[in-house]
Amino acid sequence: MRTGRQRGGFVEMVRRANQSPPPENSVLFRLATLVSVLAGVLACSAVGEITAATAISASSAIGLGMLFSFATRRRSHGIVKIILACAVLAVFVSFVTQVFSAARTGELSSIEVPLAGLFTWVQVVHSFDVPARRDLLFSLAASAALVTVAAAQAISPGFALFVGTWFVATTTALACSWRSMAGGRGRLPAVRLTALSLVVIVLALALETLLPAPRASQTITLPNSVTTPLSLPPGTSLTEGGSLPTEPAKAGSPAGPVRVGGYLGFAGPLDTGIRAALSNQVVMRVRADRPGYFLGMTYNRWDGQSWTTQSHGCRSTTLTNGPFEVSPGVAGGTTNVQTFYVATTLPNLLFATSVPETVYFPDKRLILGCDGSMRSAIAMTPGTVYTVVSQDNEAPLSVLLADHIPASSDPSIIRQANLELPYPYPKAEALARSIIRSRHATSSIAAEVDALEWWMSTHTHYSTDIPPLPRGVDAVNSFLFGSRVGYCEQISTALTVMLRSLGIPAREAIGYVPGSFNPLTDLYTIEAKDAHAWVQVYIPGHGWQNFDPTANVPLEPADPGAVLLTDIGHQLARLPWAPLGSVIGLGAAGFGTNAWRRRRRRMPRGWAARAAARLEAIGRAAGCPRLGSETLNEYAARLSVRLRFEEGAEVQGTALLEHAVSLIVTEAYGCRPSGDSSAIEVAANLRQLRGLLNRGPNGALLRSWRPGRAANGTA
Amino acid sequence: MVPVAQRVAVPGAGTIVLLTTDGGRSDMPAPAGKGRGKLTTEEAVPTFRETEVVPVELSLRIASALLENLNRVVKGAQSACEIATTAVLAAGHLLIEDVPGVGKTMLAKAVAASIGARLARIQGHPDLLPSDITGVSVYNQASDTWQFRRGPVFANVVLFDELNRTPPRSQAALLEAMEERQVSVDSESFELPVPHLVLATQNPVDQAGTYPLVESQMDRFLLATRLGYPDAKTEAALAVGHGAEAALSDLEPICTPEELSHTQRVVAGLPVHEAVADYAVAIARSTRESAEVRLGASPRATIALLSAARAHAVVKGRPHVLPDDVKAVALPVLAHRVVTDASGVGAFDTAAAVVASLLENVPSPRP
Amino acid sequence: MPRPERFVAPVLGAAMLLVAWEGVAHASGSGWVQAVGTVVAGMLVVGMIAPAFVARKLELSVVSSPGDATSGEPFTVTVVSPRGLRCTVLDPGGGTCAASARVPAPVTVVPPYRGVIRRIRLQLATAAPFGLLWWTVEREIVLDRPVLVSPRTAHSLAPLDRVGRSAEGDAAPVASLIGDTRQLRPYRLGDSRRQVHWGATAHSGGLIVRETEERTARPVRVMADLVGDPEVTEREAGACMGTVAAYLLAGSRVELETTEQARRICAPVSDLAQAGRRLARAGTNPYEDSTEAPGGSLR
Repeated sequence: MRTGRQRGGFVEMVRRANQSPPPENSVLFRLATLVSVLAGVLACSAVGEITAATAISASSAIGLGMLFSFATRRRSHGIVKIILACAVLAVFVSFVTQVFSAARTGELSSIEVPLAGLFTWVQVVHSFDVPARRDLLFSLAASAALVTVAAAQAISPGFALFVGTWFVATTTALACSWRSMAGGRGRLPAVRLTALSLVVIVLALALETLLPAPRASQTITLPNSVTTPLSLPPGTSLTEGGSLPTEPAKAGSPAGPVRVGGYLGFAGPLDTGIRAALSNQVVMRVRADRPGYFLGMTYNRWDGQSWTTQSHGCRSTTLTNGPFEVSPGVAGGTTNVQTFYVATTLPNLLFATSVPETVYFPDKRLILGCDGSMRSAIAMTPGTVYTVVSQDNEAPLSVLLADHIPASSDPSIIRQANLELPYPYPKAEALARSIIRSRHATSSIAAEVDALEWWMSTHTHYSTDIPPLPRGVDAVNSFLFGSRVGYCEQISTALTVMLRSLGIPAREAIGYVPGSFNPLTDLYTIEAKDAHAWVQVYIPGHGWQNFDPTANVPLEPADPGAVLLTDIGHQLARLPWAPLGSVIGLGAAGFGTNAWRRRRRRMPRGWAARAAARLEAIGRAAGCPRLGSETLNEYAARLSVRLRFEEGAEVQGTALLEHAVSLIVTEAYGCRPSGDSSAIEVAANLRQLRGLLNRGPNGALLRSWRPGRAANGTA
Repeated sequence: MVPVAQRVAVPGAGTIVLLTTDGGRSDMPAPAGKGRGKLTTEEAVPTFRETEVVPVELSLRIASALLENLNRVVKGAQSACEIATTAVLAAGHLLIEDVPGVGKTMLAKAVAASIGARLARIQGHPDLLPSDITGVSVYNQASDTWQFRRGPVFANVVLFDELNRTPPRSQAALLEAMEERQVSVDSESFELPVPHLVLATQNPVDQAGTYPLVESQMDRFLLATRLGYPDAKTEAALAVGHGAEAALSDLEPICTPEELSHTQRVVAGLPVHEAVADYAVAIARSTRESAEVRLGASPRATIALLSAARAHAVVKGRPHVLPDDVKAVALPVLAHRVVTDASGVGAFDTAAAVVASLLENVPSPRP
Repeated sequence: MPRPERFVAPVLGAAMLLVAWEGVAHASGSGWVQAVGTVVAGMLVVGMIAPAFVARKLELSVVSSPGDATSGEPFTVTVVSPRGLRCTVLDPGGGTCAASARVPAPVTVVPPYRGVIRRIRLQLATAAPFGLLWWTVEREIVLDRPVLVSPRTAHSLAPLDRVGRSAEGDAAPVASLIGDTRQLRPYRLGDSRRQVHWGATAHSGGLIVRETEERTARPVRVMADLVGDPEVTEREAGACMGTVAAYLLAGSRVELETTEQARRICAPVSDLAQAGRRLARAGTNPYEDSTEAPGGSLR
């Protein structure tokens, strides 16, 4: 008996749990949900997690499914449910198969791709069975997952479009969900929702500033190029262009179709006489633990006008089968994991802070040059992703200054390659010596370099707008003893030459500086104009150290919060305040006038409306507010029952009420004015009514009521 | 019996002189509510000029007198009497959905007697032909011509019992006559008399062998209502005797058909405040947006709503239309026009309940 | 003060979700995951905290309430609120209803005891604007007119086999104008002309009048002393009600003697509704001092 009852209870419980909830009728709710789901799908497609064809077919299927489930929301369709269950099963099986095949080929890094597909197709299947609010909320949650999966691969700030769309749609959908929970009537409070959205955005920004930025070194699987194997972009060819015969072919050349981000130095001899304008084109995005000089290659041979690389018997080596151990023995530095997302066709150089230790690159070969450069055997096309783990050997200047190792203990190979000058530079040498003497900087190599660097920063003028150098003119002499105007190439070359003339091994390094940090994507955006040339000085015991007489490159990891705040500040400061202010002022004035006019319109015009508002206020204060659907007569009838008049004055009160209301409605709807006498009569009636109520049993309640507040309530 | 003139000032509408013809009493015209005073204008009734503005006051008196008369005959159905009066004043037709024996015929007779008009009664049955309603052309051998013999529809007040037992052809003939206000037979048109009021009844319970009216035909009726059973006291009084027949025979016409038709014109010309019109529109729209309604009210229903509201205002003794009037007539105007999922026996009641619940949700205008 | 309702699971869930999200963001090293996560976190935080501010402003007013009710049987009070909310009757127990903004909604109240209900304590809940977490506030609303809760009719205390009979024979018949003839007697001053028995008068020569009698019992007096524990007085009141009902059904006249506000009241009752109202007002009102009354809810 007892078990039977228990079972009955259990069955009842299960039945109740499976009971179909009431169908959701709000079209806006469904539309908003559809938009947020589509935002997720399109975001996945935009970052390349699913193909465009998949995205289009999935989107149309989801739209169809939503229509279908709206049309059949009141029906319970068992067969459809069974079919959908089978479809979900199939999607899962396909997902598991893809994951296993990925695992078998060892590409664990590309698991996100089947994940995005899984979420997309689950959305498609689910969209055919969303009769109720619960199901729509599930769709919303799944769309959040979809957006997140896409976000994991998103590197461009343009992704904000998807996030924004998704946010607006989801907020709307949630508001609709509450409206449906609370009875499903009325319009959405648009103003309140906008204010809430702003609060949400402010909260999100605050969180974003507080939370530490995700670091590249914390990645479980280092990102790699998603699309392997890489192929050449159409219209380009691999050309022989390496300075050594063993070097691989590289894409493009200064004259070729691919202009390597506008900077000519990456594709051949660095001719300091040529001028080229550098664009704002984004060439790479870098996720790095710490920013630094992203070194591309170095030059050691100076001929008076241009830099070239000479091997001096060193041979470049080819590593096969990554991950590539570039310099296995390096230790003692700080680990700096950098992931490079190539955004435009680049030369076949791999950039990294020095000294690179391990390289994850989507190819079977990697070529190491003698100059410390790493080159790929394939073209670096947009979409290529590679990761370099470096051990940064950047030593602080204070440490370097304290070192007293004599210059003569350098390895000869380095001395030989990096002290060469085509001809003596007596004037430059004399200048260098006088600078060092005047700065009393003879204690260490670093001190000497620092003194020269100081001189460069104070006595030369940085400008990219200089005329080309004629052939046959020595670049250093013409710079140092001529205009003293130049940019990084001229300044660093002059420094190198001065150092060499002093007998300090130095070489010209080119690469990129980190560019700007995007606090949302946590990526350093490197544009073509961030190409840079600086000086590497060999300091015994510390190896090659970067010295930069021109740019001030931050070497600390960027704090996204601070960057975000300064960015916002900069953006605000950069806004054209004068026109904007006038526009905003005009808008505010217009809005204010409109609001005032609307308020006036809402403000009871004419005495009848004012009297009606007053009557409503009296009723509300007495705890009997007017219902929306009640006409004034009905309200008065209800009031006459509800109101507590003074003892013995019930009949009088009711009569006053009825008379006042009849006068009010006659004035309001009579289509002809009934004169001031009615107005005076009504006012007197209402006053009297208040008196009767004040002296009634609930008088205390009424007396505490202030007309002002209640009048606001009417609006 | 000396007619005594009494001046009644009506603001903004000039002056009207009312005459009493009531048993020599020389005071104000006996309240029309008692049903004894006959109100006429100063001029002879048949020559009433159409251009003349009939003061609203007269309409109000006619309305209240008519309502009083109906209430005296049909006891215990105040709201139905009010609606019938509304239909008469709005020059609309009335559909009564009710079981037999609750006083539908009495109501029709009372209306006819009150306006001094002819009553014709048609009993709906499956063999009813259109010509039974409209009339038939008869060959006159003497003059060798066809003469049209007018059917019952040519009465001022037509009581059509059990409309849904009539085959669709005959239904159509009647409804066409109602709509066109004329009858066309053998390419000849015959005007129906003015005023012309059709009271049709339908039995909502016994649905076997009936031809339900379609929505567009329902639209021809301005109002639909139920009489309902009288309460116990009234029923007891009815049973004991003092039947309606006696009251009916006592009834005196309170106006002539011509006066009534002028009153109808006055009622139709009553100004309606913008807010009230908006309220009527909002009610009509709410039926279209409701999930429970399959087919909402047509724009014609909105017009009907307002014209019924005008008449209702006059019935309530007001020369202006309030939102209350719209609300009061919304049920009888809309209940038979909207189509809900329910069909057959409970359809009217379901629709009425739906409309009532919609009224709860439409915000009424604030002054 | 607003209080969150069943907040542990949603808050913990949200927190875990966000921590996991942050973990994923750090694992994938993607700034956008973190950015989306902060947006979601903002929505969750606002969705969970904003109802508290809305709940503080919740209001409710009574549109209509009944005058009579029976203990243990539900009655509805129609309420209306300017915002959508969920409303649960706390004291005396009852049901829950969802009320749309400005649409009257019926709230079911189930009074556990007989007595007079003047105010209802309600729990109002809202999850605006996103429906993520419900926050509740308690409000007390004063009814426009008190609800008189009559006790539920229980078994009669009277010996049932005697209820009917006792009405017949107990008391002496009372002389009256109607009823059966009891005796004939000579005319006395003041007798009605219609009482004269003309036949007997003719026989006897003197005026003889008919004396009739009405078979009535003495009114049954039911005494209800409903003071003390609500449970006990409820039982007593129920029995009282049953007894009154039994006698009324048997056709007896019933007088009910109760104490109302320390005043002894003894008055006849003619129907059960009247008796119920009397009993509702009698003795201590279990709804007046809610701190002493044990438990205000049935379930």
